[in-house]
Amino acid sequence: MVRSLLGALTLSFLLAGAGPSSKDALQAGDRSIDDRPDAAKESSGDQAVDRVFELVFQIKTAVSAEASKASYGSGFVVGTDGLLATNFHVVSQALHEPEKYKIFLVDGAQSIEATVVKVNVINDLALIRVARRFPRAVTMAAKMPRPGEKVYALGLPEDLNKSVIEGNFNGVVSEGPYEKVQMSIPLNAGMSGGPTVNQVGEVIGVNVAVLLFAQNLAFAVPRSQLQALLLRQEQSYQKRDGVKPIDGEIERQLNEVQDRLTGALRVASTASLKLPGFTVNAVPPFLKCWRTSDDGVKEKWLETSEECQLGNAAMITEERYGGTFRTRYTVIENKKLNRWQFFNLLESRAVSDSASAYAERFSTPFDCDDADIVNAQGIPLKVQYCLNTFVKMSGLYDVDFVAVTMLPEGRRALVVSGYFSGFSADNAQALVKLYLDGVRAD
Amino acid sequence: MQDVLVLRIYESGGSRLEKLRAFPVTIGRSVFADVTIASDGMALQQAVIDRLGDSFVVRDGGGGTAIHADGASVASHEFRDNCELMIAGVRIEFLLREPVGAQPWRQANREWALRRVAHTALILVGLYLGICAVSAFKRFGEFWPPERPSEIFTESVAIFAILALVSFFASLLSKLNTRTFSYMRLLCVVTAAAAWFLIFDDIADTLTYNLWNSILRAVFPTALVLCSSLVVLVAILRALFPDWAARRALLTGLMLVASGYGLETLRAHYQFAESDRRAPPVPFGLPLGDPTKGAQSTTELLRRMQQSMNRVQAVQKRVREEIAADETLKGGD
Repeated sequence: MVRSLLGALTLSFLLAGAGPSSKDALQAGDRSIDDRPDAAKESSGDQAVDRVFELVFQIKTAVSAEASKASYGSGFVVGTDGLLATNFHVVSQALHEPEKYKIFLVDGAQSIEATVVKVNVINDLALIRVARRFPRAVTMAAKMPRPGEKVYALGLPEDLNKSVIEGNFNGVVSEGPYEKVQMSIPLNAGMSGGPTVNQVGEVIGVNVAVLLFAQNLAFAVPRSQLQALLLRQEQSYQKRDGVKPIDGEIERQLNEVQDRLTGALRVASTASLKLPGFTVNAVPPFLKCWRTSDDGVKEKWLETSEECQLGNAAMITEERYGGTFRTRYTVIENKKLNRWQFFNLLESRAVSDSASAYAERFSTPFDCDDADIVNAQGIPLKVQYCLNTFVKMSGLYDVDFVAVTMLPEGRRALVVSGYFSGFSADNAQALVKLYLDGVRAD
Repeated sequence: MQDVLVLRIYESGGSRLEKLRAFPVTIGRSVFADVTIASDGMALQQAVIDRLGDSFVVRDGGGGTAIHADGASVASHEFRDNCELMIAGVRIEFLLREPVGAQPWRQANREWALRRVAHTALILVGLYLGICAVSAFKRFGEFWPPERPSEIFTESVAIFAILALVSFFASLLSKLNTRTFSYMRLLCVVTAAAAWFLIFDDIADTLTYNLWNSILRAVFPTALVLCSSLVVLVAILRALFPDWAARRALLTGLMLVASGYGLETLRAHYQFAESDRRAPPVPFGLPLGDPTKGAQSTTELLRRMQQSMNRVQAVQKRVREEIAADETLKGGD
């Protein structure tokens, strides 16, 4: 479970002379720190980090500049013309409820209103601009550190002093369209959107999340994603095409990611996964899967489950995610139940979790239906599905389905369930068909 | 003048009390008699009790010379104090006042009623075991030796327990009154039979897959209709065939036909399962009937999903309009 680091911090910021523009930040990092001896890195590390320290601010969401914060995070200067980088989730509340909230950069006692100019909801990044010039901006690292090397995360944890936290770089993790830097570093709430830098103060990522119930496991958005966003900002600046409506941009990005995920699922489905008594579609290799075997009450039945899920999602609001999915296959072997008991057990499993879910903000209530179908392999399935859509975005749905089938002798049954969040109508339907038609009895 | 006459009727295994206030009163085997006595020797209307001044008189009601007083056959018998008569072989005490502490439900023939309950339960168990035997026979080829021989036994015990419980409560509800209990017993049998027909008929899959829904939507109303119909049918039978033996024969015949129907349904069902073994495995094979009956294709499912998506889009549009209207309202402020 990934917990965002959205929180509150205070920070003072020292203005200095003119520095590089966002274009400078984009092109910075030509010098590879990896080529330098460790001793050199150590000697220059503290001073380098101190220089980045000055470029980190608290970003707050509030009803007005004078008002107390509704939420907070961190951000850092990436362009001397007033451009800062932060996480999308730090500014999402104000984006979705502009009539209530605004975004501010907090500089000591002063709050400066900021505007969101670019977002990347897939990788949780945002660029904001304030009406102020900065003497300099951060420098991007040209290469990622070697695993085990020291890195430093900066931000304002828990609305306290601006902090520098030391940790270790552990490589980049890729899960389909999602990428994140894995670190051993004790990030805290409020550091979201702050920079993660190497030993010479070059940005390698943007603090984003920690793994709950883990020991010192945290993540950052890789600097390549930030550079790509800066490039897009640079291009739109040159074209003078202004700021596109954010909702439309989010929708475009979600559409893009769900298309990529659908493609990956289609490719994976050409392979098979063997389960006791059944064969089903395989899932993409980048999913995290667990296979468990559990006894039912008093060992009256045995459940073997293969559960896979994408460890990442595109955050739209704090309550609403998209561009993610999970699947679960459960084979239930009847050991001591009579037929009626077994059918009742299956009946209880043939219900979608969403059927009793409350409607969340920004979502329509779930619309559920069920049907008895026969799939392409001639296997009858009892299916229930529930779906809803985002209130503010068109054409993207959450689809939750569960299907149950049982072999004739009443000894073994299969429960297939899937949850696709933020998928287009065509892709959602295609995936449900793919999963249901992929069920074969051995 | 005595207002009440109490009859203590001795039947096989016990006695019961009948309190009479209005006269004349008819005694006979007919359910239309004021006092029904279910004895084979009793005529439909065997005797009549009437008031004669300060005394009562019992006279023959058309059933022949079956009234015996002190061992002698009489056409009528007048009495003004407690007395005892044999009418068609049934001993009846005529009491001018209600026995102290006497309550009909306490004095009723409990042993007799329990025997009837046991009898009903045995009929039901017999029916069920018969069906199970057919089931086991049909599975012989496919599942011999049976992998779970206890399965049928477990189900039998469960169903038996439920039906016996229903029968028991029916007997309590009837307060062990002979006539009412007869109807209740009949209702139990009919309800159980109806349930069995439903189990092995078209709604079998619904019944077993979604039991509670089925009880609400299918079994309960169907059982009600069937029970009501049977009560009417029994009343007609009683009118058409006053003789108990003839009615019993007819009812037995009906039960046999019903059982045959159930068994035939079962046979057809297992025939399906048998042919299915050669085809790809079909889930929900036993005992749910043909799972593919009425099933749709995956494409049809997607069409329904599209309809759902259209519905949520309509909701989305409405919510957006509400938000817009709300914002307009705020702007107006």
